Amino acid sequence: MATRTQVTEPATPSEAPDAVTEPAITETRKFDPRKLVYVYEKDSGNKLDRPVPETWLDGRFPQLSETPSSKAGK
Amino acid sequence: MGQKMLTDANRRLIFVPTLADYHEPTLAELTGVGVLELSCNVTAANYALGSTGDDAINDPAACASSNSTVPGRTNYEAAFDMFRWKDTADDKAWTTFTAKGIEGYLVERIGQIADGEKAHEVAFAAADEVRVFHVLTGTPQVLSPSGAGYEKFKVNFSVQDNVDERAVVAAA
Repeated sequence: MATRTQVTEPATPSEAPDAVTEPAITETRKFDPRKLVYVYEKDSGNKLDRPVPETWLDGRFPQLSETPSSKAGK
Repeated sequence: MGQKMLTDANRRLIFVPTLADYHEPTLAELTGVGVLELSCNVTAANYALGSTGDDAINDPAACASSNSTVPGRTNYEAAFDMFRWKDTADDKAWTTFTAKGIEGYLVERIGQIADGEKAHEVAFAAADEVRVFHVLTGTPQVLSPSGAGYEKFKVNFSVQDNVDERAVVAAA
């Protein structure tokens, strides 16, 4: 009776597990018409003297960008 | 006899946050997406933009026998009734003029379009004559719903000293 030979196959490189694709975060920013923010002009870098409604940053005035807060974070 | 200018679709009014030189606004400042088109957002009724008159200065000399005034500082007004829109994307006037003290420039062009053209559809061009008013918003006033009509709000702007009613659009 023939003995069964045990064949040990070399380990084949297994395929890398599928990368887990997490759903993109599609949360859109809310712009509060009651909140006023300071902005500057992207081209000139000039800061506007007066604050503007946050809604101005929703794309209607793309030439403006919010001025980073000068307050230190906690 | 020449042809008088009609008011029909003859004015274009925009709002821009800033102008580098209010005497010579540039084409880039008056065109593109960074401009709020007001022409179809404001009502023709109650449209007010311009001078309301000058202060009268009366300071006679001791020898004078009559009062003779001279024009002093000019008073300006800027006030509009504006429509509310159902779609948020259209309701930009309401979401731009949200409070008092918001700064910007009103720029208006009268005429300078060809027959059959509508002012708000014609882009600003170099050498256009425009009226420029540096303004601060007043608190928006929601108008009464009495009577059938559209929902509207009114903004009284405080006109600042940077006014040029005969400004000329610069190419760059």
